[in-house]
Amino acid sequence: MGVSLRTENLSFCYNKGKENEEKALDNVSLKTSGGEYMAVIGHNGSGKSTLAKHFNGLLLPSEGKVFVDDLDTSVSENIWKVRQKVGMVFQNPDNQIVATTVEEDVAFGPENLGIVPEEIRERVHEALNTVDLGGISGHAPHLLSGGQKQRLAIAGIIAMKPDVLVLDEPTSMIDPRGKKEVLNTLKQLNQQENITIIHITHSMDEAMEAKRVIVMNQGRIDLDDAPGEVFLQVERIKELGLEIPQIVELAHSLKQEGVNLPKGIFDIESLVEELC
Amino acid sequence: MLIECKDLTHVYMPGSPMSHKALDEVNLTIDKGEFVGIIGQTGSGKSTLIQHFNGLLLPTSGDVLIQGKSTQGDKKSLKDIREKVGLVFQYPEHQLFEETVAKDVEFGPKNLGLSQEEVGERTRYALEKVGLSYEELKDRSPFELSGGQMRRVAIAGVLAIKPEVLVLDEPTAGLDPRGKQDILDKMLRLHREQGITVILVSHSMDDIAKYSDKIMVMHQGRLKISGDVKEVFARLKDIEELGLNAPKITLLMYRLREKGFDVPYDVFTVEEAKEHLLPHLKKGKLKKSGSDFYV
Repeated sequence: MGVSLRTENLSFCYNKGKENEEKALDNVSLKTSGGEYMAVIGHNGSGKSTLAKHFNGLLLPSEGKVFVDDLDTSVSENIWKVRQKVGMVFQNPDNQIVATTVEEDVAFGPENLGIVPEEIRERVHEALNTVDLGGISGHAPHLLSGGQKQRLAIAGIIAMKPDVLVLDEPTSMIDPRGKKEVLNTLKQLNQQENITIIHITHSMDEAMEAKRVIVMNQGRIDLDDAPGEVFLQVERIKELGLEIPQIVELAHSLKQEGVNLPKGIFDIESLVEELC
Repeated sequence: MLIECKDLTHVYMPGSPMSHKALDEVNLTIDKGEFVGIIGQTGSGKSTLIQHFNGLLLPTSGDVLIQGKSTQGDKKSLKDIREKVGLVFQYPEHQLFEETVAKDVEFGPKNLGLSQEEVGERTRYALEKVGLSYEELKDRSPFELSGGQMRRVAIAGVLAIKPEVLVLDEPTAGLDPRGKQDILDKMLRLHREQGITVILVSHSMDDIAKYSDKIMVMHQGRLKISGDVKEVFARLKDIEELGLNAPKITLLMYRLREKGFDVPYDVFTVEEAKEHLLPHLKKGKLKKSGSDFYV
């Protein structure tokens, strides 16, 4: 079934009660089902990262509640269980790498969970194979490419066997091939291990890969639908300072010029088919 | 010729077991007034290369000339070079350090030994060029600003030196689409209006295709492909082999050509694609090249 996340009327203020108080989340209610693949998009300052940090209790609500299955993140006894269930991967992998070899780096998390050495070895092996770094377990992390480092950061989290993986712009620092590698890893974790994926991104092409897209604006959920539906809201998406994936935008503007195209063209192949 | 690299080789930690050749006999020239995009996989040598352009790194062998002067000359000429070539690093906002926005932007021109008046003028100029209001922000702490604003303040700090060449290493990483476009549009404007030479390092093929005139592709420390945007994206197979790709729109045009349709492939934006496709479109279908019927 997988683990579900739920926010109930979640609001969050930075610097609460101070002069520079700033409301970052405003009454957000959201539910994910287990095994879901969800992308979160929105302009800088829309509340995406603040929302993400609530899912594993890095931030606690100013008002409202966040639940991981039935665990309330604001109950302090729950916090370690919550963090075992929900793993976070951040933007810059260099800040998340701690050890001198790839293998040790992945072992760091499970070691801290107090797991027996044999099982740690197994988990490290498995996690590295999942992200396709099995062949370089003895290498020094700082000599890896950007895409490899980011996959290493993901391996370090999945070795702790979380049910939910929250990723905050995991591909912003890496080249196109590295991006593809990371996306493939996410898809595989979602499809084969039934891990819930919450992917925060500025790339509309990456958001297209998800089953569900949430668009944040001023601390609220503005749109919440399948990517195909969300990106049909061309004018709204642009108003929110976001862009439409190139192919979707082209299909949309050809239609506006009177070209007869069906709804729901999202990739190159389907547009080629329609045009030919 | 503004920038010239001659057999430029750079080895990190030479002679140690960790020795790593990051640049391998790179030869290139960049002329005044060009907008050059540099692409390549992570670790291909892009950042090492651009740090040679203002003498932050010096060649292990070979030479780098800025307007004919080597970066390996005396202190005075290195200082001149650093005034000519402004470098904006990845996440430049991490280098903000002053109490106020104005002080941060002033830091560079002050170090050039300019008069207080000139320093003030340049600070205004630089903030205005990145689209920030001097009056509104001058006394604010840079650390209270949004990520996008901090990035602009950091870029303004380099512009205040009035460099002839602006080198930008992933200037839009982590910014949202509007913030990204806004910064790049401002840089394009500087390039067009003031004739500043811009060198843009980016992983975004969309941005590179949209803004640059020329592209250089780095791979394993070597300059693999170099040419104007059209030429470079014409070599799609080569580019893909190097772990890179072309904008989605360009890939679409390629696919249509493969199917036998007479459309150009050097199309990088939705607007251009629309212009090329519309005249061909009859009843929603494209006209095959060299044939009179519609499929």
